Amino acid sequence: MIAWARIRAVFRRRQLESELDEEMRSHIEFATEDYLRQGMTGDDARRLARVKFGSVEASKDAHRDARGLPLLDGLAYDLRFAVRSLVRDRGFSVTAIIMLALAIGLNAAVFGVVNTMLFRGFALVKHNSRLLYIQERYTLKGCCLLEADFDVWRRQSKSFENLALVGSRSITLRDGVVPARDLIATTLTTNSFALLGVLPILGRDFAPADEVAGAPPVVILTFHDWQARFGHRADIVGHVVVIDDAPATIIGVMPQGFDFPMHGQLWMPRQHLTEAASHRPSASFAFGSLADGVSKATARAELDVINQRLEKEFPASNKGVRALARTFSEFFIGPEARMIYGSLWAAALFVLLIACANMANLALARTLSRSRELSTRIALGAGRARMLRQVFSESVLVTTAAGAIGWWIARWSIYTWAEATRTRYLLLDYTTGPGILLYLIGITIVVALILAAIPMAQTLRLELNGVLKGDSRGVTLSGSVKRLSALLVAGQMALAMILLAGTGVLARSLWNILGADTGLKGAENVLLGRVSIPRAAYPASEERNAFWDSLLSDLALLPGVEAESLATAIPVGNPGARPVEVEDGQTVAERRPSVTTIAIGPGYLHAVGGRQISGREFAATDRPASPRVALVNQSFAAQYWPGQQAVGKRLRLDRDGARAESATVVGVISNIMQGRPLRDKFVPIVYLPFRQAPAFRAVVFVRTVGPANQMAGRVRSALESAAPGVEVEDYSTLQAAFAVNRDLMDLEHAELPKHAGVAPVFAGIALLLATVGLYAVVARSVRQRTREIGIRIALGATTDNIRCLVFAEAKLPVAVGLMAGLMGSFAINRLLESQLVRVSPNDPVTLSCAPLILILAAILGCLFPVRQALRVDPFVALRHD
Amino acid sequence: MGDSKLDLLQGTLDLMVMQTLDAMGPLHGYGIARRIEQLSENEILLNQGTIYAALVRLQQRGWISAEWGVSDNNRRAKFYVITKAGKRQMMQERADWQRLSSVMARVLSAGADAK
Repeated sequence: MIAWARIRAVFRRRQLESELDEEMRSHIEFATEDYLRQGMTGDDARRLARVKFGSVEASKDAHRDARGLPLLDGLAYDLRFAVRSLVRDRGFSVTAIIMLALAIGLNAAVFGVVNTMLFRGFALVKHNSRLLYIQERYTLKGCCLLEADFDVWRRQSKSFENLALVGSRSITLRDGVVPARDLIATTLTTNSFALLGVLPILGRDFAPADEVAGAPPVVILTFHDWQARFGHRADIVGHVVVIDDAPATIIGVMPQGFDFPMHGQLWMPRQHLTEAASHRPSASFAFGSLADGVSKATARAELDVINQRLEKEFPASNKGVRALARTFSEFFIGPEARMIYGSLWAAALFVLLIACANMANLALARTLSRSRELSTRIALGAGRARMLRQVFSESVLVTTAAGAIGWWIARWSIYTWAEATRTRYLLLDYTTGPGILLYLIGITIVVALILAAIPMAQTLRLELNGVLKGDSRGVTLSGSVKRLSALLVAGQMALAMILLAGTGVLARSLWNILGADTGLKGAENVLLGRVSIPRAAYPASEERNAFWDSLLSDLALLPGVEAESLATAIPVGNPGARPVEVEDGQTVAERRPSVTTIAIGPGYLHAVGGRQISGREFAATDRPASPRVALVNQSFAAQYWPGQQAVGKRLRLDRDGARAESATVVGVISNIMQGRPLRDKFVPIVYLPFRQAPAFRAVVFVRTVGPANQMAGRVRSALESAAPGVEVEDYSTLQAAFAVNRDLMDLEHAELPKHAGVAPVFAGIALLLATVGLYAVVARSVRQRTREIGIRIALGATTDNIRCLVFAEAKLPVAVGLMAGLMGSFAINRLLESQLVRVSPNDPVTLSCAPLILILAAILGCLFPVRQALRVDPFVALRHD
Repeated sequence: MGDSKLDLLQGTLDLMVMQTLDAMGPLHGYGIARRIEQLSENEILLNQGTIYAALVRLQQRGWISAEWGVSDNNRRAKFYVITKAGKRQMMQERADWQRLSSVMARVLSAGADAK
């Protein structure tokens, strides 16, 4: 009943307050009348009545505490008061909220991204952190896993609860809906989906029986393919398609958004290989879930032991073969994932630190300018505890608002990131879950505490008498507060400097990659498509040559086509390498280095924009039966025949593990980027004539006279209608294909564009915040020195004197900050080294530009306070009081 | 005088208010405060304002009730009356208080004898 009365009192607050007011007023009047009756004068009577009554405010507070819910009541009161005082001080509140919202939002966003990249991984996959992805490393190059080894692991390993195998198979699919498609199917052990914790939404999962040799072929579709190719048919399960001329039953459809491990169209059960084949590298990778309580290190050690045993048992196939068990991020995002995303996180934390330092400075200034208000209220009988609560609720209010906006910023940033980094080969889980929200709330609380601590400490140390007696501009800064705020500015400058320098070297590194000479000309005017023809229709190589020849001549007839050709790989792609023996050269025949090889058609150089250096290009006469010929690029010629005429030399390449007959070099062509171009600028390349070994697949290039996109439709339909069963994939311009390939070609730098793209955002925000922080401190100091400046002007100080005076405020903290930042950059940039292409971590350009930018920003931050100081009118300033 | 005034013990003000209302009938806040001051012969340190917290507390417990009225000199004031439950509570507290004070007296005098 009392609780009820108290709750009611909270809601009847307004009425109770006015009644209390009236009651107290009449109380004092009663008392005054009594004293008057006793013969006192009016003033004395009124005074005594008030003295006897005691503090009205304290009594009201006691009344409120007794009648209502003091905590809630006080909270509501504090909050109301805080809102009022924040609204009054609009400049402060808006700055604070925007600044903190940015910093908190960025932090939560980075947390979300890092969480996905390093831990959460694929959409829908459960317990990603307990999964290890395993491949084997060979002394000889090769990919990626011996199936026989996998079977041994599965039998013998105790570290894994379950192990699954992933491979791929190129198949021809006839689904009766569209023309036959050649595509790559993902093959899986039948336990795979269960291990990932994702089950089909339609039909059934693979069963162990599906894996047994001779079992009827079955496939599971992706959600996307089910929609796109089969129009969402509910009766798709049980539908029979033809795969490589044999019927296969569709048994299920996976949920939307699930694509494992790469973007694909369908999954098939693993097909067991023959004993001999299983000892050759074939599968893509294996993955397993760690058993309860087993660490990654234990699992790795166990695999090592098993592989050492296998090495003894099968020396022929397993010599030097080691298992590499990696986490999701190491395997899919890259070996540098931790460094890259860790550094982004650190950058976000830096921004938060800067924002906090800024806020601390603003709060310092605010409490100082309010110290009179606070002191007056304390003197009037408001308890210090009450003041503390008030100061605290203001900072809670500011950070809560910032946190709410920050949440919105975080969600937007994560969404933008997910859209911007969506690739066709990895589908990651970027949903903003409760984890991110918890993180956001966590940092918001920490920030609120930091922000509350400073004004609370100041409130406790308020010297009432001093403040109340002090002049009207409030207290001047005490030495320790001034030092603290200068230190905060210096810290901000240092952090901003570190971010700028880091961003600088990353940007230069990316610039070096993007701006690298590709050896191509006019790549934006080249259309390309990967064209494949059905194997069965063109069994003989002359038939294939006839097809490709007629395709190219058809293209040549299209108006607006300048040149056309084909090759087995896209420039900048990684076409693979073969051991080569160079005759008459410096290379010893036994060493047989691996060299990148590509087969190209006539006119390739003109089509992609390369140049002939010497000799001739391939011609129509280079056919399967004619003498073997080859072209080399400048790098190859320089490396193997330095200072010699390469044309006329001979070399011998391996083909399918056997030594092919030697070929004569008929020409040298300009370097075109291929393979891993970032580190080893242009790799040596041997070009072979496409016609001497015509393939079923080729990349067709068409150079257009005008802009390529105007021709795109016509060229594509010409490619597709060239013959029945022709498939065109990856259709785009050479320039676009180039950009895509850049991501793929160098795993170590695959994440660099994102890294270098996000870093400037952080550095920019940091710079902005640090400038605002410096501005706030200098401006405050100018305001407090108005009288001094007035006196100086009155005594004849020149404009320059005053300017110096203001800049002097900024000089020390900026200088200290820059020095600390420079030292920090030297230390921290080293961590980025793996991402730096042709730029040193201590890049002098960056390390001299970053301080310059900061100094410029600092000058900008001082300009306004300088104007303020110059506008001081000595007469007004001296009368100021 | 100042220093020697007694601080009020926790809860004693409530009892004094109820006792006053029981003895005097309806009274406003100032009347109650005056009465307590007179009876205590100014021995108690009482900011008159603090009486209002006690009044609202007693009211919420249902031990006193309040009503707006007009005083002898035609001033609007809130008059407080003790309720039946209040009387029972007052009896109970008075008995407790007397027991406690006799115990205190015994203990303190025993201490004095031993000296």
